[in-house]
Amino acid sequence: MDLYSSIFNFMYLFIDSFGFLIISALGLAIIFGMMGIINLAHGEYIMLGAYITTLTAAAGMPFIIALLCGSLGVGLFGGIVDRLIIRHLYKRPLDSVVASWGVSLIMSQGMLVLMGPSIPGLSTPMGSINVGQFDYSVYRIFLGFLAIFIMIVLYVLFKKTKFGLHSRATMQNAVIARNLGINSDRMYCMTYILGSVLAGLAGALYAPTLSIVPTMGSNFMMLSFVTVVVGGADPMTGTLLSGGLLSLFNGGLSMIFGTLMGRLGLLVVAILFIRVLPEGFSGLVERQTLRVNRKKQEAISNGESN
Amino acid sequence: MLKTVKLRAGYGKVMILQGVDFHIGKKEIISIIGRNGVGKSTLMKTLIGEVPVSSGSIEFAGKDCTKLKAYERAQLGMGYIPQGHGVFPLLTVEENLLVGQCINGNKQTTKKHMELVYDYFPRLKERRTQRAGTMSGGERAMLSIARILIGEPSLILFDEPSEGVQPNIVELIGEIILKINADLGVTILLVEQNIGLVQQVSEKAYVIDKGLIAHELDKAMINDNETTKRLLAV
Ligand SMILES: Nc1ncnc2c1ncn2[C@@H]1O[C@H](COP(=O)(O)OP(=O)(O)OP(=O)(O)O)[C@@H](O)[C@H]1O
Ligand SMILES: [Mg+2]
Repeated sequence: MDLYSSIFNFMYLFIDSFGFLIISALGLAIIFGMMGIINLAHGEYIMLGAYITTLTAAAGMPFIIALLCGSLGVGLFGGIVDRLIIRHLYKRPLDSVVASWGVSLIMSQGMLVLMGPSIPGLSTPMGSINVGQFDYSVYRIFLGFLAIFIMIVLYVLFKKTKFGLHSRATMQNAVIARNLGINSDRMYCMTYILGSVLAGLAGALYAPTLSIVPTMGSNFMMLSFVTVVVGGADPMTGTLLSGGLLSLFNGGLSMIFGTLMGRLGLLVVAILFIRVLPEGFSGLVERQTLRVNRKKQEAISNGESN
Repeated sequence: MLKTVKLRAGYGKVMILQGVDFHIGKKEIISIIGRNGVGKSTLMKTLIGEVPVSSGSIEFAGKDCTKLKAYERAQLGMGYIPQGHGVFPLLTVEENLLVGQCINGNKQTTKKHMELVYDYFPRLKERRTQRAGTMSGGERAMLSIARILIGEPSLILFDEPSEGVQPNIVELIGEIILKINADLGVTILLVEQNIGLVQQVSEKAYVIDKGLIAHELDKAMINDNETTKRLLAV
């Protein structure tokens, strides 16, 4: 393999892994970061999104419509689960783990009963390109860039809109937020639905690349869980940095030693990282920004006293 | 403006308030004083709706709001400033202020409101983009007041604004309270340990003890240090 094609190979593996980690982790990260709820049914939400998308597309709808149905369908499902179960468990991480684990079991078993052990998948759109001796899926490269686009949309949503401001305020202190007139329960419900829509979107986007089986969620769940743990409480910065770091190792190791080692390496890096920085990337970033801010402030007050 | 009737409230089975009766008229400034742990903060939390009422009632702006949730009471125009100021540490000063706009109905904050608040607190304008978590105690106190003002409340519930604040800033807070009351006609209920601040602003004070309003003090009694010392002695 010449240099050019091995660089491309690494880049492809990196982008593929980055896209996968970010797209599948965002829903989990937002629900965890904003609500302190660990949604163990996240993988099954992704599975549901993949099923809805595949079935809608198989019924003759264009892929983009199927994708919307998948995301919004899971959003609706998440909304119902929130009203029935999750709303009683806001800010109770341990109880929410048990409850959402129950939901995940019901969903995967239910899907097995409903649709059987598997349904026919869709073909991957966009074809492939050939570099060196390998063929690369254009669609998976596209998903890597789409991940960045989704992050930008979420960044704008959280930093520039009223919903974003209110949800960040609620996340930091729900009691104060509601004392200031914010309906914090509604913020939680909407955040949960947003997380569900993102999970559905992940399932929809990856549906054409995977076999559609009731247990497909577990693979997503493990990797998004690791991403969120390494990322820490801030769903945006945390997920972005963690997805980047883990993909660097995953991509590099996969290229040299194959997929299995890539996966193992990712887990080892995650464990080591958490050993050193238990609060993940967001803890680190938060400390840094507060420190910089304080320095700036000191500089201002020194300037004043001179 | 605000009236409670035989208000009983507390945590679980422990009733902290045992039948509190009091009222505040429009544009009044009234203080509530009492020893540590008698339930002053509990009263404030019950008024805003954070502690559930077990019996009795709360009437605000002519409406029975005993059963309303905290955010609904806020949207009726009740502005609550918690003990310890309660700023959002990771939001900037400006974002903290914008959160306050939900009080008194969800109307948009116009530039005018911002300017008014920055007029009251020029220091906050300088620090607009700073994260609230990096500010000093005095600055947080000002931010917590400014954040409420943005929402144009008709009543402000202050829970110990002087906590963690140096004496000259406490005096500034006193001036601000008087100014808000005079310029904007806001009714004020103030819980305070700092007798100086109580004397500076209030016309009337209630002394809370054993879960009840034990005494009502007029201006002269508030200003008499012997009386207040005796009432607050352990
Ligand atoms: N969340 C809670 N759960 C159980 N008990 C509480 C809770 N908050 C306060 N208490 C108890 O209620 C009583 C009154 O507390 P409160 O905070 O209202 O006092 P306070 O008058 O505001 O005191 P301070 O002057 O120190 O602010 C105290 O005995 C306190 O221990
Ligand atoms: Mg108190």
